[in-house]
Amino acid sequence: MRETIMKLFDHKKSKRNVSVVFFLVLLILPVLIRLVCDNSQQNYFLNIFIMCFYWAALTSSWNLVAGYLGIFSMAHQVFFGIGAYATAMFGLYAGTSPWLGFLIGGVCAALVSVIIAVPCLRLKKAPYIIIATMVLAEIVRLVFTNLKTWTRGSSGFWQIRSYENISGIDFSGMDKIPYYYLILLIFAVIVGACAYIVKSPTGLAMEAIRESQEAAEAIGVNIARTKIKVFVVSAFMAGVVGAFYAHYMKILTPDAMFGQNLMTEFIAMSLFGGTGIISGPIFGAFFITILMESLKSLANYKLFIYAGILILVMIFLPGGVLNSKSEFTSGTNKLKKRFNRKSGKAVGTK
Amino acid sequence: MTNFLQNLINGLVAGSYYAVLGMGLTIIWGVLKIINVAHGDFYMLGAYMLYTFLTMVGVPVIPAVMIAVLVAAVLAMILERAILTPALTRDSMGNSPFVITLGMSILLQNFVQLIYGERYKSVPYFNDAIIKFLGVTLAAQRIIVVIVAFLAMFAAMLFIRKTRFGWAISATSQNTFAATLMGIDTKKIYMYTFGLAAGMTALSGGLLAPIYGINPWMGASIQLKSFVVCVIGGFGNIGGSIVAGLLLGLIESFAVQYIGTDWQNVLAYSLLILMFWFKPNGLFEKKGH
Repeated sequence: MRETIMKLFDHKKSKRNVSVVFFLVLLILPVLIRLVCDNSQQNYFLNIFIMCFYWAALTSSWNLVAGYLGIFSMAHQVFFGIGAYATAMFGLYAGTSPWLGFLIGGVCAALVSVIIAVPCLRLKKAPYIIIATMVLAEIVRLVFTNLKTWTRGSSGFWQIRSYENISGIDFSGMDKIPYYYLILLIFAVIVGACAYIVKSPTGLAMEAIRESQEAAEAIGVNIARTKIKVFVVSAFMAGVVGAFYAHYMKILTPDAMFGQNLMTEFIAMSLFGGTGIISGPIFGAFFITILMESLKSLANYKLFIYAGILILVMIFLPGGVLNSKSEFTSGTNKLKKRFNRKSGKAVGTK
Repeated sequence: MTNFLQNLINGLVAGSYYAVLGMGLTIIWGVLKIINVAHGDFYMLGAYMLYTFLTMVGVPVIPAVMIAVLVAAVLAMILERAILTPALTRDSMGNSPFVITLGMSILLQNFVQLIYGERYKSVPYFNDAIIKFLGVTLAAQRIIVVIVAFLAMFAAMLFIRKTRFGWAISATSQNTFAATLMGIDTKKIYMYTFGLAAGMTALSGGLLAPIYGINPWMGASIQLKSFVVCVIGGFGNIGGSIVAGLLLGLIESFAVQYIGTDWQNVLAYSLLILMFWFKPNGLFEKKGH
């Protein structure tokens, strides 16, 4: 029993194989779905996976800042929202193509991230960073709500354009397969970039900063530069996903895009899977998105479920599911002991 | 002149409850060493409990306020013991207590929304009298708010400075390990501190409910305002947070006529960012620290 569980976690050797298989399955998934489902069912299932992809891409980008760099940013939804608003507003006022929106959204989010990162750089205590990012996110939400002439206030944007068709591929939204492959590509690139950054010298510097800023400084890590760099890259990723979201969902409001609820969902997904590893947030995003979708009849209690997940994970598995090898093994040991004792007692009474 | 007086009084009214809220948050920070994001939701809970007992059950005002505060404080203590203590007593607690208070906050908001619905509700004024002097009109409710807020702050200060239990709280906030060695049950201190802070917050929620109306999400902006007060006053500095609360109330009430109510909160939150930028340890930083 113990060995099999240990094996499940010990995928260091087969790590690459696992991720290759994972992406191959996702690549052929629409074909499989088409084989077994009719058209409306197919769109329903594809929609769930599209949601999984953009959530996983977002949690992965947050993981860079929170899990590897150790800055528990509560403002990540802002970058997502800025990306979405930027492409929608440029499309409306300047008539730019939604395809260009990926770049516009990413760059705008990266610019805003500098504004948010600079005040946070001076703060060394973790709680101060949480407070500062929470408040900055709220300032952005209020600004977008109050500047009614440009952002249409709290009613936001709706009926945002779809992507233009490219060489005969239909992006009108009737068929979700093009969107599926588009977001799968974005997701794969973001996860690949995260894995690359983490293994690069910057990634080592990030982990050094997370463990101890003083020690990292002493061994010659440029703390300010590393922090800004990671913040900007992570925000760019979130902005690109936001740009996709704007043209996929076609409706944006400041409360939905910049509100604290969105951040809570990020946190629940990432912490459930486990931060500080690449697979953790992806696992969390897929698991929770699919869980929520299968509990759709309980939609009114959605936030209760999130709150329950947050609290239970923090009490019992503070490292997240994929980081809790020792908790699981000690848990099975305890169960085994209890089982042995019980069976022993049963024997004794006989 | 009249305008100035009116602003001054409005600022003091708002400031007095900012002070109470900031004081609660700062006590929790000082003792438990965590930031509590469920603080604003105990404010909301206090308002809803008052609504329940005053309007739905029909208890007279003073007992209704007392019951509301008591219910909120006891619930806070139960929640603290049930879900926060396991994370607080762990060796490396990291961000988990913060995340648990976040979960607690969502739980409270949605619980209240489920029971009472998400529509605005109004609570009747405790006293309908309107007082006029020097051309300033003032509802008696606002005077009640100020008086009770100052009484509550005075009582809390007295409790912390003069009682054995208060000394235990101070000792725990200075050095948890040493406090444990002196035979102080720190878990118990954590629980009562959380309850005390939640009770104070619930009190201000109850008193302000007739003025602002209530809805399940009213705690969110209060939460961030409490942060602003704590940061201006310096985290863990009780006296500082009282002065900072009054200061914030006055700044808001004088600024609001120039920038409008839409931007009032943006101003308050920007103050926090400025504080972090220039004086991250608060306006009243003790020298030699």
